[in-house]
This record gives sequence, structure tokens and C-alpha cells, in this order.
Amino acid sequence: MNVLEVRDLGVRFGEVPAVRGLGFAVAGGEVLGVVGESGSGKSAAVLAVLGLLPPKAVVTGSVRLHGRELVGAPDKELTALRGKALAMVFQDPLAALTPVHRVGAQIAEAVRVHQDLSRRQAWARAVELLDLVGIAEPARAARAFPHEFSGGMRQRVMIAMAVANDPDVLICDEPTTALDVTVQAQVLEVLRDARRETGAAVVFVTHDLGVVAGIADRVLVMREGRAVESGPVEEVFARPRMPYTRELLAATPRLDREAAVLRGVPRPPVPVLRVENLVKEYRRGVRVVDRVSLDIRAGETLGLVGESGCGKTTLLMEILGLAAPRHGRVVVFGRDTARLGRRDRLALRRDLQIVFQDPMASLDPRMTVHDILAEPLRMHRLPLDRVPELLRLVGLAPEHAARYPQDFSGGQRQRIAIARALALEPRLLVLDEPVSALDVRIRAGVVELLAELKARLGLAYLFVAHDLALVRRIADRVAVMYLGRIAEIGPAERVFSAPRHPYTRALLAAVPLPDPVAERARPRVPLAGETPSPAGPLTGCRFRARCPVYPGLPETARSRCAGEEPELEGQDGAACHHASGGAR
Amino acid sequence: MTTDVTTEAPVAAPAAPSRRRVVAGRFLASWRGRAGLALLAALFLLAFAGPPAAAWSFEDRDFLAFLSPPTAAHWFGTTQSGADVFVVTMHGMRRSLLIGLLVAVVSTAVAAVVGAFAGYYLGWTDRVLGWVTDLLLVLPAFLIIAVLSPALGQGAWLVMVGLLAAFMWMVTSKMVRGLAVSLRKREYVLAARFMGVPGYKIIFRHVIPNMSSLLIVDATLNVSAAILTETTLSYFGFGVRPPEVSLGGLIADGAATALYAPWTFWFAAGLLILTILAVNLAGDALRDAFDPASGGARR
Ligand code: SF4
Repeated sequence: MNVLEVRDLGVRFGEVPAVRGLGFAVAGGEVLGVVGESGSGKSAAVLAVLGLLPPKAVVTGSVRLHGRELVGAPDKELTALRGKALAMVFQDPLAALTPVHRVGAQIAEAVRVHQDLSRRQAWARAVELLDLVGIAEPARAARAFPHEFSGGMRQRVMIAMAVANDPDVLICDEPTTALDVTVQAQVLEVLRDARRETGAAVVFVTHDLGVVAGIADRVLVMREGRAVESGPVEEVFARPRMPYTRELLAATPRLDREAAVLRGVPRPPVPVLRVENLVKEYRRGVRVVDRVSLDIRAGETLGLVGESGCGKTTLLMEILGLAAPRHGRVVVFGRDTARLGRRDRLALRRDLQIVFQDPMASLDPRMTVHDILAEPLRMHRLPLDRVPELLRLVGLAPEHAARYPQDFSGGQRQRIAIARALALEPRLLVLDEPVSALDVRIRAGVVELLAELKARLGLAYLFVAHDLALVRRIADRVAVMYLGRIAEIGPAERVFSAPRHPYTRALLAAVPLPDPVAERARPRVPLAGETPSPAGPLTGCRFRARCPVYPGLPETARSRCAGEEPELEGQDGAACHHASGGAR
Repeated sequence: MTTDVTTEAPVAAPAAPSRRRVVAGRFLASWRGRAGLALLAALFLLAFAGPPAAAWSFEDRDFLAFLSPPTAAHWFGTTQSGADVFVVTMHGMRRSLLIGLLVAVVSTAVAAVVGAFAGYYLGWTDRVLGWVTDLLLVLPAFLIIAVLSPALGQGAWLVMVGLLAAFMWMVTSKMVRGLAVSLRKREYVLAARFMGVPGYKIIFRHVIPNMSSLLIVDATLNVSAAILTETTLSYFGFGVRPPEVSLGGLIADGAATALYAPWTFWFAAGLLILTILAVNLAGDALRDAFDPASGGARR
């Protein structure tokens, strides 16, 4: 029995069609995954279903909820339905929660709008709902304000609000996109529970094929406002009929079988960067980066992996600042940054450049591409006629130099950022999540470009990413960071096939596979909790509170974890007292 | 590997991709820009070319026509003392325009530089500049100008510009500082830093241009504020001192006879309004031209 039926849905913004002739149906208890890249119209489509598009958008076609027509229904009717029969969870929970009200009060409010309950009853229900979405100490959490919660907790609160009134249809628009993998795994688990509890029909919009493979019963692939392909997940993933779907699947890196495209040719191990026991303190005792040591050799790619708050960005800034660190040493191309003069430092910058995550933010919007690429050249008094050559190097046309960054697509902007980084002919490129803001097919193109450049120019990369599958494709060696320290480091092959640190294992387990059969066959043991703050007292192993191995250890082994901080030995190993070759 | 490279032709002519040319092009493409610029140009032309074209000079008094309404001889009429309102008003407008524009430009420039340096460098630079800003903020500006003004000699209107500007930049500079604090963490600023561009260059190349919308809006507001402050000062006799006149002084004078001789008041008042309108139109258009995202429909 279909709860929600959409037929021939069209959305137009002025003259521009965003969605054309879209049709789908969802039954109670079923999850429909809507997949598409940015600009595919997937968000416009679900907003149209919810009746939440701005008034200038023209919606045509039919959306039926239990046979009742929603397109063109009066606003009042829609408002009454929304939150009750139709509930939603969006990507950014912070925008959806009022900062000045307690979380519990906001959930209670959502309950009371649609149900006739007293204040006290509504509050009790709010606490119950928080418990349902797996928030510890729900009674206390209900009294907290949204900003006291982490991103994952807020998304749980949003889910609690969404299911508060037992909805018939639950619409999720990229609900886990802003979250770390381990937290994403938790939230997906909560969504599965919520669906089971409410029996709602779920429409799950995402760009991530791995997530869809894990959660959806059926998939709808969208492109340029139209449905390209739809069918049961197993079917679509195993035997995609349309070339576009095949292309998408091929471009999605898979953690379980990933061929390296970026592996370096073996070279003599000349270190280009060596970090020794680097410490960065924000306040006294709060170490965001704590005794980190790593090195990168010429022509090599080191993948640096970690979730938000692990200190990887701080580590990069410390390295790129080329300033003398308080504790520890940074040696770049054989030169200790503590003993650099002004001139040396400037000269050294030529060899060390960076590409940031968000190409929109890393290119000055008020400069033309020409000026952007000319800036490093001018600074180092190099001839400006290299600009066209640089553009060609990254696959853009030299005529593009006259335009502004916002005239380009995301992938093209990232190419410009790469061209700028290459302008000074560096030998080490720091790539800070260089493709995570891009669509998957474009991502593949940029990764290929990076591989090509590396082979051609003999670059070394420090590649920071949270996408483990991508790191597996790219890196020669991998370092996993947790709470300011390196938990595990080693050759990529070894780390991915035989991870030693429990955290690495948990991270790998949390990455969804874009293969419904394999994904569902895996045991699901989401890592509990989230990265704690580095301000807390740290004794013993800092991963202890979340460590899945720790609780099962015998007493003596446990006391070692609690009392003594595990140290990393050398450049291949794990900082764990009970590191194993994969005992779990 | 070049799957996402679009094939569309570049929008701008590829000749010299300079920012200034593109901004000028955008500015002139909007009706506000054209109207504001034309109006301002007309006002300037009137103010500077008008008096020589009239039959009367600034010092002349027509003893045959006291308080005469507009006629062929006196285009804007005359005052109680027989001075030609057109010529006097044009003189006043000249001063007001110059004072307004100069004060706005100077005070906004000071605000931008002080705020940007404080916000970009933070630390000691920020503290010292913050003290100066706060000190000027608590000084009673009006009183100080009023006390200093009699000490100024003739033709000292440039000093007046300096004084007005000196007391106008502080609030903006605090806003600028806040923006600079957030801009210094932007990735394009970091990228410039990591390629070795020194701080002061980053400030002038990346930080200040990216606040141009704010600065232009602020400068626009400052033009009217400067003219109005100067009006008030002149009204109390502390502003531009006779024989120099400004629009403000004329409005104050004309207000006395406005009821029965409206021409003594309304021409000056009307031109004041036109001036401010023109500056605002041009300011709006300039802001849109600077900010590629705010005007165009392209995203
Ligand atoms: S040292 Fe102990 S607590 Fe830490 S990761 Fe290893 S087993 Fe877990």
C-alpha cells in the first residue's frame, strides 16, 4: 500500500526547470533512496513534496499522501500535515533548532502542536524520544541548549522531533552529510530504529551511494531534474541499466577493493618533510596536537585520516606556518623551521604549497583567475607568462583567465586552486580534503589529475581526507589521527588490510560500502560516542572511553590502558597496548 | 580527465583581465550607476561652471531687488541683502560637495586601514589601535570642532575636512576590524600567506577589497553625514566661516525667510537632497559592481 505517490512532478524557478516529470511511490516501512549529484534536482523535489519551496517556484504534477492531493493544497492544510503525517530531517540541524530554547522544550513544542498533551506530558514524551534516539541521560540532555550538543547529537534531536508525532512519511535530505563516518554510522542506525518504531515510509535523499546501499530498499537515480533509473537497490547496484548510473558507481571509490591510482614509483627515500614530537597547545594543558611524528619522502603520498576535532587541520597549519614550534621539530626539505631567516622562509615556501577543501573559499572572489594565478608568481618574481601554461596543465583553457572564480563549476575551481599551488613548482603539496566538496564524478576527474601531476612533476603529497576509500585509492602510506595523536601509521596496504589499532578498525567498519549485499552482510557495530574534547583530563589511552576492545580485556590489561599512554613506535605501527593483527 | 571543463566561451573579453575595468563595466551597465554618475556630474558642473555663466558674482548685491522671486535676471531670486541666490547657492554647493566627498573618502579610508590592520594582526597592533579608536570615540567631537573652529583662519575648510573625518571613522573601523578577524581565517588569505605574501600586502589585496561593499555603503552614508554635520556646525556659526558659504549655512539662513520667500530656502534644500540622492545611487551601483555575487543573477 503506497503511502506517498508522486506523479509527473515538475518544479520550475522562473524559466529554469529544476525537476521534470518525476514520479515515484513509497510504501509504509519502505525506504526509497534518492541519489543524485548537486544540481540534479533531488532537494527541490523533496521540498516540493513538503510544500516548502519559495513562492516563486512553480510546482506542477501530483503529490498524493494517502490519496490526498498536496500540490495546490491550501497552506493551512499543509502546515497541519507537516510535522505530523509528513516529517523531515535536514542536513544542517543547527539551522533547524532555535538556539535560545532548551532541546527538550523544542521537542515538547513539536509534540504539543499536533497532540493534545499537557506541558508535563509533552516534556515526558520529549525525554522518552531522546532516549529512543540513543541520547545518554535523556532527562538531563533535555535541559541542555542546542549549542551544547555535537553535530551528531543535534541530528539525533532532529530525528526525535521528526518521529515525535508518528509520521507516515519521513523525508531525510542528506541527514548525515555533515557528520563524521563513525557518527554517520550511529545516526543511520538511529534512523533504522526510527523507521521500525514508526513504520513510516522514508524518502532518503543523498549523494552518497554507500549510504543508500546500506539503508534503502529501492533507489531512484536523478540527473538534471529527471529520474534516470529506479528499482530495488540490489538490482540497480548489481546491474545498472543506464550509463549514467554505471558511471556514478564506477566513480565511487570502494574501500573493500580499491586499486591504487596514485601510488608512487619507488624512489630513494629522501625525506621532504619530517615532523618530530610536534605539540600545539591552545591553552595551558589543552594540546590539540600532541607529540606527533611523521615523515614524507620525495614522490610519496601520505594520507592523513581523522574525524573532525582530531587536530589534523591544526597540524597542517603548524607545518605550513614554517614558524618555530614551541615543542618538537618541523624539518622541511632538510631545513629546521626553528632556524629559518625571513628570506629562507620565503624561499622555502616555493617548495611547499597547499590546496584547500572548498575551492570557493580558497579563491579570492574579487580577483580574476589571471590575478589569482599571478599572485604567487609576482610574489616570487617569476614571469607572468606561465599563467596560460598553468591553466593548460590542469585542463582548463587559457582564455578562462579573464573570468572570476564564481563563473566556474566546483571541479573547475578546484583545478584553478591546484594550478595556483603549482605555480611555484613546489615539491610537496598539502592537499586538505581537496575533493570532498565535489560531486563524485568530478572527484574522480580531479583525483586523476592529481595522479597525473604527481607522476609528471614528481610531487610528494600530504593528503588529508576523511574519506577512507579515497585515501586507499591514493596514498602510499597512511596516518590515522585521534584526539591530537597519531593512532596508527603504516603502509596503506597494511593499514587497510590488517589494521592494528581498534580505532582504525572502527573507522574502516563505519565506511559504508556502495554494494547493498556486502554492506548488509557486514556486522554492524557502530563505535559508541564521539570524539571528546582535548581539554578533558587525559591519562592512559585517550581512546579508552570509546574503545571496543577495552571493556572485554582482563583486569590487568585494562589497568595498563588506563594508566599508561600507548606510544607509537617508528613509522609502521599502532599506539595501542593491545594492538593485534585484527583480533576482532 | 577533463570531463567537467565547460565548453562555453568566456564571458569577458580576454584582453586585459583587470579588476578595475570589469568593475567599471558593471558599474556603467546599471541604471543606478549611470543615473547617479550623471546626476553627480551635472551637480558638479552646475556648481563649478554655473556661477561664471550667471550675470552676477558672489560679492555682488543688487540694490534694486531685495528678496525678489526668481526672474530672468535672478534665476533663483535674491536674498534680503540683494545677493543672487543662484550664485550663492552654487558657491555653497561647491563647498558642500567637496567637504562631503572628501570627508567620506578620508574617514572611510582611515577606518578601513585601522580596522583591517587591527583585525588582521591582532595582538599588540590591535590593542594600541583599539585604544586610539576608543579614545576618539569618547571625545565630544562637536564641542572640539566648535572650540577649534574660531582658531582656524580663512580658507581653512580643508582643516575642517580633516576634523570632520577624524571624528567619523571609529564606528566603521570597529566593524571593519570584526570583518577582518573573520577574513584572516579565509582560505584565500591563508593561501596567500603560505605563498609568502607579507601581511600588509594581504591586507590591501585580499582583506580590504573583500569588504568593499561595506566600505562603499559606509562612504555613501558618510557623505550625507558629513554634509549634515557641517550643516549643523554652520547653523551655529562653527562651520565654514563667512565669506565662505556652504549649503548648510545657506539652508540655515534661508530657513528664516522660508515662509514668505521660499526661494531662499528651497533651492539650497533641494540641491542638498539631489546631492545625497546622487551619491546614494552611485554608491549602490558601485557596491553591486564590486561584488560579483550581489548584482548578477549568475551563481
Ligand atoms: S590501549 Fe587499550 S584502550 Fe587504548 S586503544 Fe588499545 S586496547 Fe583500546
